[in-house]
Amino acid sequence: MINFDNAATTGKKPQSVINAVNNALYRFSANPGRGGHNLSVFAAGAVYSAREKISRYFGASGADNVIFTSNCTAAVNYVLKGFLKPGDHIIISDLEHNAVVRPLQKIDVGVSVAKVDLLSDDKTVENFETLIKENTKMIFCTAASNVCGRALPIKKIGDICKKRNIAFGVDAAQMAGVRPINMRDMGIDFLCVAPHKGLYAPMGLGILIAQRDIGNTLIEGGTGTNSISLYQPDIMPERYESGTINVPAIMGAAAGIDFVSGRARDAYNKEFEMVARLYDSLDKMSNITLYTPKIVKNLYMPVLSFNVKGKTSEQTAAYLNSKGIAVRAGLHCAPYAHKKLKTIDGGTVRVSPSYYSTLSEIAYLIKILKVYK
Amino acid sequence: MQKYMIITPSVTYALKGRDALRRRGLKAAVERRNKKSGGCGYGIVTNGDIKNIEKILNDSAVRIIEIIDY
Repeated sequence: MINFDNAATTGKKPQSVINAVNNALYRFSANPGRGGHNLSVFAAGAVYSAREKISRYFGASGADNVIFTSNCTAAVNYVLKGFLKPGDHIIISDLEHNAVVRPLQKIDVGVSVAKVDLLSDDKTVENFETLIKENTKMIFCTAASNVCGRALPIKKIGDICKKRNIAFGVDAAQMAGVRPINMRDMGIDFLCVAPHKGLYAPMGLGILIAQRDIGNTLIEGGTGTNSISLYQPDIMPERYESGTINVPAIMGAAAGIDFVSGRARDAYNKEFEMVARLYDSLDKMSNITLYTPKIVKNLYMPVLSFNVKGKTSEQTAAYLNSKGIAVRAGLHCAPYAHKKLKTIDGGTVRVSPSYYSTLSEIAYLIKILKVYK
Repeated sequence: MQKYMIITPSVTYALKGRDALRRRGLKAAVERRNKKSGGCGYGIVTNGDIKNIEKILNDSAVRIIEIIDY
């Protein structure tokens, strides 16, 4: 099967990641930070090394800023529900995933939605800035759309947040591992990461890197610290890590960082070339509708949405599946983005390659789509 | 030379402190605290000039709960 659904989860994992997960299961299946036996202490040391590596990779302050969660959505929830108070105001973009939109429906805060210009970063930044109010506590936005691939000008938005003393949170599900993210340089206070995507790690793990106090906890319980106390500790990262963490997946994420820092360092260029070639071919086909202007390097991630005229996105995806190609159809859990692209009724077909995809696989997809009526 | 166990609030702090001390050439290891009550706790077992050890840990933002002779 050709996997072009890597924006959901990267399909093929590097052998180094598989080895790291196996090694963790084989050598230290123990609760880090709980027991005093060698296995537990060894596991704790391995987890700490992973935190350090993650912190360095994303330009954070240190290992204790790295919090492991169950997935990226949980990380976003921790930030939004922990940091914001009733009456606060937050600005998000019109490309947000439901991971951001839905938690904000549950809390009593004012929400403004900034329009992302599909080609101009300066207009996008201006659209955010004009929405800032006196009670704006946070700007939270996706680093890149999971529907159309548009990357937001994170550093420029971060500069505004710093200037206006507003917290800045980023949902980096689609960008982490594919494009460099440096929290310090970009002025990011909270970074939410989906390691099973661009870091090629297993599912069931999220990463939240917090450069400032999150505030309230969402989940309380055992942390392996000061157990006699009935209250949640205030120390990082344990305050936000009640319960057993996913050690094998964490080891996989650490190995994934080595992979994207080394062999797959040029993954973005490779994947972008594939998507650009696909865009150019689809643009010439009369049976295809595209929804973004011609994609530009650095403004777009390697994610492309389209539809075949006269077919629903689900029909096209099912057809491609029958031809051995995996793509994602529908709304991609991002109704805001589909409203923006005017595809809210039927969604789109999304193609997202990975480092392991090839131009010949793209050529095969084009060939299949040419004859699909 | 006197050996100490520096009690930290968590295993993460203990490991952070261990690495800070090792970077300064000191021997350091993380062990679970052996005590009768109070629940879980970890410490850094090390030896040397305790004032210097405290300074290294403070400079590295490692919180110290207690220093006990080991």
